[in-house]
Amino acid sequence: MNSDTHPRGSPGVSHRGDSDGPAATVVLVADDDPAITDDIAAVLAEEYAVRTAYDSADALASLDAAVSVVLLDPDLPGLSARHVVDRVTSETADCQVAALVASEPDISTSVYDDYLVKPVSPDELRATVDRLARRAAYRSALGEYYGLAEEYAALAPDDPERECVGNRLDDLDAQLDEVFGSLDTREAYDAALRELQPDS
Amino acid sequence: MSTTPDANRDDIDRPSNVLLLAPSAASDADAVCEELLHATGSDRTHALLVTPLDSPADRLSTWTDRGDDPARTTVIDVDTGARSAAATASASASPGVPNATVEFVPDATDLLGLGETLDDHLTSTGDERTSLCVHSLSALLGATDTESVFKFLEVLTSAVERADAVAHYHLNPDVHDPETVTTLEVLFEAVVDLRTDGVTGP
Repeated sequence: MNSDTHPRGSPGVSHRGDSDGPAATVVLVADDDPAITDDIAAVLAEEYAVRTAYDSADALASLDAAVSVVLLDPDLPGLSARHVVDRVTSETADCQVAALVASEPDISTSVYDDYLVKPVSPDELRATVDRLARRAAYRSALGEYYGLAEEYAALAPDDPERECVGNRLDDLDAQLDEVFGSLDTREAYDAALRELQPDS
Repeated sequence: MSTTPDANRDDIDRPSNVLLLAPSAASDADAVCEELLHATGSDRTHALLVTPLDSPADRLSTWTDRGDDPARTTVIDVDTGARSAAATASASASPGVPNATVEFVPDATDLLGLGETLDDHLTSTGDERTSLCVHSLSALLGATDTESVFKFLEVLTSAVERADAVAHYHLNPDVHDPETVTTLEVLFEAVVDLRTDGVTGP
């Protein structure tokens, strides 16, 4: 490892074009106004696989482990946005959630990773989702890295599988270094350690 | 131990992050710690000490007893709740070392807060190089859980490289199960094991 391979945070740089990059990032957009939802989806569809929902039940139905970023109207009709956040925290722990709000003050920052004030400009929308996608990728790779490190530690030193697990650890380490290079250090701590608190 | 022969200190690829496995009985832990602290390749060292175990004054006396003082010292005092109130009170007093400042992190379970505090100080200016000592990971593991400490350390070791700093992290292998120690070893470029006086890569 060498510090030269970790350029200081360059948030504008995208790694999605890499041929060996991860599959398309899945974004779920859920707002009760179909026009807003569809406008946002149209902008994001240029770069992401986008799912849309106009109420909580649809949002829950669209939410699975493949989703990396959720843009959520906290006043979503149906079961309530809280249920959606609960599901995010219980089932897709790496997912990053931004609230789609009408004005800045009506949002508790501890509940969501970020927020967007409607109407959202396409540039701000793309920048926010790109950043949240990188955070989700970092969090996801880090969780996998820990699981694999535990697996490695449980194997006897002479177990032939150890080398294979070791190689996968090296690959994940390189992947983590690359994503870290695109994140501010504080953002990396936040993505790694912050837990959404739906009950607060 | 033989990580960095002095003759070509600046030429070899010095590890940025070293795990120091020091059993409580290891009498040479302080000497190795100080050697690692000064292994920055610069004459001007900013010593950044994270101390969730001993009080800042106790931790600082490790250097002042030896004379080879860093140019500047920052102590991040982390409260694990395990220290006595008297020790905490004396910690907030002047640590008795020139150019030393003390920062207080009130909650050892708040690794996010500790990371952000470290980020404020993990910068190198001019010819000054930062050398981080975490003493010890065992205290952080006692306050939280292995997974949180592991994730915290992955970010911290990356941040140390980004800041062009060096760091070493004390861990008492006697108070953790071997799997926990091996899991954490994965994160480090080099491990100094004072149980066997050996140096191994991951």
